[in-house]
Parts: sequence; C-alpha cells; structure tokens
Amino acid sequence: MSLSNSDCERRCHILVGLSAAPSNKKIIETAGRMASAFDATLSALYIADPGNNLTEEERRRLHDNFRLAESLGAEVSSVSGSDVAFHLSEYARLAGVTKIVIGRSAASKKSFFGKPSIADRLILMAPGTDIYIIPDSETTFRMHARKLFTAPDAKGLIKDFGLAFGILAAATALGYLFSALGFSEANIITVYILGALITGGVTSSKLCWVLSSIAGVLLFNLLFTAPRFSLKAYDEGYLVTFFVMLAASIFAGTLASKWKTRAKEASRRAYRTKILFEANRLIQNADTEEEILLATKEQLQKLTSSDVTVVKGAPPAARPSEKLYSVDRGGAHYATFITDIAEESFEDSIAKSIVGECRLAIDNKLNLAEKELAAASAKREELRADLLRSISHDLRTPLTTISGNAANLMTNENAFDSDTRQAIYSDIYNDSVWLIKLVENLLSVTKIEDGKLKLRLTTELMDEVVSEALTHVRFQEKSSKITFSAEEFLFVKIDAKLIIQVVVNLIDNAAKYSPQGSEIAVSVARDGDFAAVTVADHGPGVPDEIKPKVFEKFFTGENVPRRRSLGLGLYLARVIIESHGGAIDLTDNEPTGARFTFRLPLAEVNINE
Amino acid sequence: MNNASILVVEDDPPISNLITTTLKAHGYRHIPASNGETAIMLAASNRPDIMLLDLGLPDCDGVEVIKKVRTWSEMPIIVISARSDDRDKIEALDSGADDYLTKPFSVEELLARIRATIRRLSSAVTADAKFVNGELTIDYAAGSVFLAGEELHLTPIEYKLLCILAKNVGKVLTHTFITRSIWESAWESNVGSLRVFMATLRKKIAPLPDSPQYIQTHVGVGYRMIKID
Repeated sequence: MSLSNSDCERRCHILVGLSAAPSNKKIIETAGRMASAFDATLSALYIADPGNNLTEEERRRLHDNFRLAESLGAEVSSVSGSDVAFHLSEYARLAGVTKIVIGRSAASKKSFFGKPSIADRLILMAPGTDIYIIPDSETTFRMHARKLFTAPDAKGLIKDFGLAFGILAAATALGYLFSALGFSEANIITVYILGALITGGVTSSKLCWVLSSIAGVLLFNLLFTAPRFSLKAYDEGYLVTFFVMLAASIFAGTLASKWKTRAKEASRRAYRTKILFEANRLIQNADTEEEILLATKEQLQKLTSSDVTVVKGAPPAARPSEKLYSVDRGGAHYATFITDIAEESFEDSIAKSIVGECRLAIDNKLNLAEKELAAASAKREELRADLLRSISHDLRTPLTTISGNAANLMTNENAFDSDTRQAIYSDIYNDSVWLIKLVENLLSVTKIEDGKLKLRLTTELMDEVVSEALTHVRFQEKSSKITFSAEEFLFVKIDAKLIIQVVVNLIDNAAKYSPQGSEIAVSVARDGDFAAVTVADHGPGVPDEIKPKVFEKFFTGENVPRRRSLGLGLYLARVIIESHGGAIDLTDNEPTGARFTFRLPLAEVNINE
Repeated sequence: MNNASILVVEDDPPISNLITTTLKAHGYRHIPASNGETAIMLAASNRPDIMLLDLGLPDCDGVEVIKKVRTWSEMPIIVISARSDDRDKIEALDSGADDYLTKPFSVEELLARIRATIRRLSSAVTADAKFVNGELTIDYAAGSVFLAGEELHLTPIEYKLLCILAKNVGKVLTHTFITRSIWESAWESNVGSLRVFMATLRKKIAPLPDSPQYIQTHVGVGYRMIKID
C-alpha cells in the first residue's frame, strides 16, 4: 500500500467514510490533510444502516462530522444500506476514487457471522484503490454489543417479547400435539425453527429473536426429550441436535429479520420517490413564486412528517438539530427551508433534489417576470414619448395666449376699453384653468402608467365621492346646469382621487360638447353587484362609428364648439376604471346627447357597533 | 368682522401677491411672512385672527409651525398644500390645523374658506350645556338632539359622532381622529363603520334634499361640521 506517483497521474480523489463514532473526527481530519497534500478531490460518504437507530448524542456527533467534512471541502453524500464495504467500493468505482480512508475500528469490524472484515472485503471489491486505515481508539466489542442489544424503545421491546412468547407458546402447543399423535421429534424441531423464522420476521429487536431461539432449544430439551421436564439428556446425540437446532433457529431469524428490514426500506424508498415525483409535478404546476415555495414546503413536510419553516431572504442561523436548504438566486439568498432532517439520511438527498427543483422553477418564474417587466417598461416609455410630443404642442398654445395677453395689459392697459380688457381677462382665466386640468390629468397618467405607484384603495361611499367631484367642478363649470341624484350606502374600494378625476373628466367632456346652459345629469345607482355612475348630457351625441374610438388615447371629436382638447380625459377615465376592475361605456341619451356610465364592483364592509 | 387680520405664510412671491391682493380687495387686513420663523414671531406679536400657512417653507416644515403655534394659541390655521398627497394634509390636520386648500386653488375657494372660518369665530363655541347650529340643537345635559324643534332619535354612536363634530365645528376632523375618539382604535373596519354611521346620521339631520348640509365630507381625509347662520 505504498503510494506511487503514477497513482496520482490523474487527479487524486480521496473518499473518507463518515460515521457517528467519536473517533471519526480524527479520520476526517486526516483525510482532509491528505487531500491538501495530494491536491486531491475529497469526498465523504455516510452509509446509514436502516436497522440501526442512532441515539441523540450520535446524531449530534454525526452532524458535526458532516460539517467538518464540508468545511474541509468534501463533497458529502449519504447512502442507505448495511454493507459498508459494498457501498464504499461501489461509490469508489462510480466516482473514480483513488484512495479510501477509513478508521481501524471500522476496518476490522466484522459482520455477525464472521465474514471477512470490511478492510479485507474492500481490498477484494475495489482492487484498484488504495486503502488507508487510520488507527483510532474505538473497540470493536462495544460496537457489536450495542448493535445487538439496542431496541427501538421500551414499548416496542415489550411488544416484541410478547410476540416471541406467543409464538413459542404456539410452537410448544403444536409440539405437544405432534408428540401425542406420535410424530417423530424431527417434526417438533422443525416447528420450533419455523417459530424462530416467524419471530425474526415480526419483531425488530435482535435480542428478542436470539433469546427466543435459545428458549426454543431449552423448551424442546425440557419438554420433548427423555427424561422429560429436565434439562438433562440421556442420548449423547441430542447435544448435536440442540446445537444444530440453535444454529438453524438463529440463522432463520437473521434471514427473516433482514428480509423484513429490506421490505420496510423498499416501501420507504417507494414513498419518498413518490414524494419526489409529486413535488416535481406540483412545482411545475405552481403559478407564482409563493406557490412554488408552498408546494416545496408541503412536500418537505410530507417527507419528514414534521414541520418545515420557509424563510425568505437571508437565512437564519441553524440550530444543531436543524438542517437548512437554501434557494439561491444571483448569488443572494432567495429563501431557506428549515427542516429537522438528519444529515445522514436518505431523506437528505431527496430533500436536496426537491429544493433543487424549487430553485429551478423560481428561477424560471422570476426570469419570465423580469422579461414581462421589461416589455411593460418599453410600452410605458412609448406612451411617455407620445404624451410628450402631444403635450409640448398643446401647452404652447395656452401659454402663448396667457403671456401675450398679460404683456399687452402691462404695456398698454389704458389703450383697451373696458369690454376688451374683460375679454382679455377671461381668456387668461380660461386658458389657465385649462392648464390646471391638464396638469391634474397628467398626474393621473403618471400614477397609472408608472406601474410603481399602486392604487391607494380605501373603502368609500360612491355618492360621497361623486359629490366631492361635483364641488371641484362647480367652481369652474358655470356654463352648464349640473343635477345630481344618488342611491345611498354603495360602498366601493377605490382610489378616491382617481375616481374623482374620472367624474371630473366625464363632466368636463359633457360640458365641452353640450350647448350653453343645458342640463348635465349625474346619477349614482346600484346595478347588481356594481355601483353605476352615469353622466348624461344633451349635446349632439356621439355617432355610432366614432363610439368605439372615444376612449382611445389622444382621440378628439371634430366639432369641439368652445374649447381645445388633448384627447386624454376619456382615455384616462377608461384606464382608471379598468384598473379598478370596473367598466365604462357610452350609450345615447334621450332625446339627444351622450350617456357615459361606469360601473365599479361593490365592496363589503364590516360594521362595528 | 370683515376687518379680520390674516397672517399669510407663503414663501413663493407670486402666490403671496395673489393671496394678499385678494385679501386687500375684500377688505381683510393681512400680515405677510415668508418663512416659518417669521411666521411664529408675527403670530405671537401681532395676534392675527387667522393664519394661512403654506406647508413647504424654506426653513422648516409647516407642520412644525402648527405644533409651535398650538402650544399657546387656538387661532384658526388654514393649510395651503401644493402636495396632492392626502397624507400631508392629514398630518397637518392631526397636528392642529383647522382646514386645508390644495394648489391650484381658485380665489373664490380661498375666500369661501376664510368667510366660513370668520363665521365660526364670531359665534365662538363656548362650553355651554347646549349647542346650536342653524336648526340643529344638541342638549348635552339631557343627551338629546333637536332638529327644528323636533327630537331626533339617534343611536349612541351617531350621538357620539354628532357631539365630536359639534365640539369641533368648522374644523376638518380626520378619519383617524374620529375613529380614535369613538372606538379608541383606528382599524380599517372602523373606518368603514364610520362611513356608514356618518351617512345615517347625515340622513337624519338633513332629511330633505334641500336641507342645509351640516356635515361636509372630505374624501380621503375626514369630515367637518359647517357653521350655518
């Protein structure tokens, strides 16, 4: 086992065996030092024996050993199985391991029936691999003793003994029957061996079926061999019979017990694989990142049958009994799942694949969202450019008249007669009011189109909001007669500012197209699950072919009698109403004119007395 | 009381000119101040009847001016805000302002607010056992309310609401202020309840479409009881 340089011509790969033994730390450290000396890749493998339950202290130690191996840069994996040598050699073969490092105690550990030691078998199974055995203080005796006499728990042990006792009693009863019928002793021995086989199959404690095998031999001796009811045997040949019977019983028990553990392990594996498939399906079907995290969390909970916590952002510090699985994105922590999965378990690898699936899915979702965001932002930019082009032209006109008129008044006020002056004043006033309205609408546009400023929804009474809008209009709108009628107690969840803007725009639009002094009727009414607000005028109305266009951006009617228009008011009204989950439409008024109606979903309100 | 003196705190000269010219044209006396410090000094030395206060001042936040003035004076303060965000107004109202105007405001709107404030001042609210406003009378001692001589049947919460508004007649009260006064908390569900009770109360004290509207709604901000002659 000398190391020659030719072994390391390709990059060295060192495999170290992990265990819960206290001496394992030293072995891992040694492997770490070797890895850095050879500039080798380091792997660590834990072989979990499904028939062997770890104590709390061992779990903690195992956890520490896993951490240590990771900190030394090892790729840590775990498999489930009882044949250490087989798994080590298989891993070594598959991963191209060149050197295996194990502890002396583990190397010389023999299986129950005195098969060759792990080291011997490793040399056989992995002929091309160097095996380094590191001396440690662990004694093999303790390992054996503990393995043999560890029961799952006191309750299980009592149950196992009960079962073993029952089977022995049944075997004895059957033995008596055979004896009474005059069958040969060989039949009775077979019955006892069958009993040992069943005991091994139904109980989980090794102690239990070993003791029950011995008890079976003793009972046979006591009850069925001459002299009866004594442990003595007259025939020398019985000694051989007893020994063969004991060996056969224990062997049968071992086989049955192994078969049972395998079957259990196989069903657990099948269950976990099912969880993995299910996780895959659920995560693929999830619509949002939240749903993905939730599905992952639920599958992890199923896997561990205990609570799993998911934390978004930076992960919390792990407690010793916890294992964290992080979902990273772009170098930052996106979310972390906190579980109580033990490091060594087969669950760990399943959990890793589930969390990996989750990471992929979240990555996809977020990438898609970013793309959509980019597209939306491009659309916004386009609108902003449109708006700017349109505004720069429309702003110039009123600003020119305001500044020009004011300049005239400053320089030759006395040259104008009082009527002319009055006309100039009113032009200045009207143009500035127009600018004020424009600015209000522009503010609303930025609020809606910017995407950042969300609607500030509050629960409001529809009639209150509309009457507030009317107070805004009445200060400016003196050319028309505005009437208002309302149904009360219609609650809506709205951004009041924006809805007021809609009502102002609709009234403004109505006033713009209707004759001086005509009536504009504003009404609020309930319409199914909606609050409907109608603004009806007596203007010329809107021809059918133009109706679909009025809510479009920058659309203006041809015959605007008195004022200029930017073509924003109705467009904005539609955008605002639609962003509230409502709808706006245009119908004809009787006998002439237009009726604009918007509907907003009614909100539910809890009342505290 | 048309010769009321008004302290105009505004740092933008054109707006300040507009306001003072308007006030002069309607016979009010005015004292201009262009920053918070001067405003507080003039408020203390000249004891004006009303303060018009711009929230965005060069040296300090208008809300600070309100808080300082409120430590010694109850003079009505009308806030002028260029910010269209309701939160500024609500903060100013909760700090002790009486009313608000949002730029751009019309001259008529400004004058209407000033007239309403003066009307309230001239019929100064005293700690009487009775409150009278137009046809509305509250008898605090008996816990009963009369409209044009007829007793109204109000629920306990409606009565509580009416009393809070009456004791602060002319002032805009924020939703938070009212819900805190009634339910001792300001949850969203209480704000919803407030809307309902306010609407039923309003219906009771103004039963006809042409009845005087005693309670004014300020959407997104709160309510105010108007002083009616």
